[in-house]
Amino acid sequence: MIKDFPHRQLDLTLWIYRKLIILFPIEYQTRFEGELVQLILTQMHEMENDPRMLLTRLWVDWMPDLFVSVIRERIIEMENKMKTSKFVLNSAAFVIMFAWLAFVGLTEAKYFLHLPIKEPTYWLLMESFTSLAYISLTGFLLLAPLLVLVITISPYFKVNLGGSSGNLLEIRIHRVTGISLALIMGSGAVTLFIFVVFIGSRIL
Amino acid sequence: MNNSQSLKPNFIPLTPAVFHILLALSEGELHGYKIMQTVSRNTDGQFHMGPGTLYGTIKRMGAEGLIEESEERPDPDLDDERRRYYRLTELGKIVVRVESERLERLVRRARELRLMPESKGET
Repeated sequence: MIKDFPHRQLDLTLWIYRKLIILFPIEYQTRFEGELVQLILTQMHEMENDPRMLLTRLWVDWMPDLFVSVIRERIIEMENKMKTSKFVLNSAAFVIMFAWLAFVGLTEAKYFLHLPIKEPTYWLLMESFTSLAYISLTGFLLLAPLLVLVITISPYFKVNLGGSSGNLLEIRIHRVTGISLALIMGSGAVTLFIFVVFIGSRIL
Repeated sequence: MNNSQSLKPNFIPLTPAVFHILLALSEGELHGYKIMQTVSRNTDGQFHMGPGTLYGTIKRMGAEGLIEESEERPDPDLDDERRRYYRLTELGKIVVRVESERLERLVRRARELRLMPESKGET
């Protein structure tokens, strides 16, 4: 059994590596699974006289590389999906921001301009004026601009995780223009205002 | 138009992994494992690239048109069919040359600042 030690461990390591390939995005798996396995087998063949060294390389070099690569490929896949759904995200952000502005605008108009309209909170919640509904509405009023900011700005982040650039973690923000820029600036300013008022009211 | 001016700005500077793969493929058509060996040899073993990083970079370089898969196999009888060979595209050749020139300019500047010794060929 002691004599078999490195070889059994190697077989097990190869088996684990092959199983872990499933963590990659499907496109990567389909295209490179055969090559990844072939590459490992070639390395095993070339280092068959030194199985302990090979085992060390597999666990110290290639397994961590596999996990970092899986995360990197998943991030890239997510970024690509985000790019294609930028229109959807902008639309959602626009609807949320519009709903928020409409609600706040009507509330302020009723109290400061004395408009003859119903209380917007009552109009929105009507008979279901429960604490949960009220808390949800308050949460929406406080956090909607932040939500708009996050969903509008997220497609512009470029996350680079180790390996190819030399840095462990690199985060870049792409240039933002057009409607996205307006949404980011608007929601950012409102978020800042809300948090300053919220924190200020707690301090004073 | 100058080649370096016609390149998309996001190509230059290249990441180390992309530059080393382009440099390795400048020697000819290579498969993944051979690329890893060549990169290791070119850098005296200082630059390690695991299989996951290698194929992820190859995938993106292919999408950007820097490299392409070779249809011909050097020796089909002796080779495993799962192995794919890669080669530089014309764009890849231009990019690796432009990046090499950029690095050369930096090295020249470092020499001017006496941060490194003069090369033997220079006076």
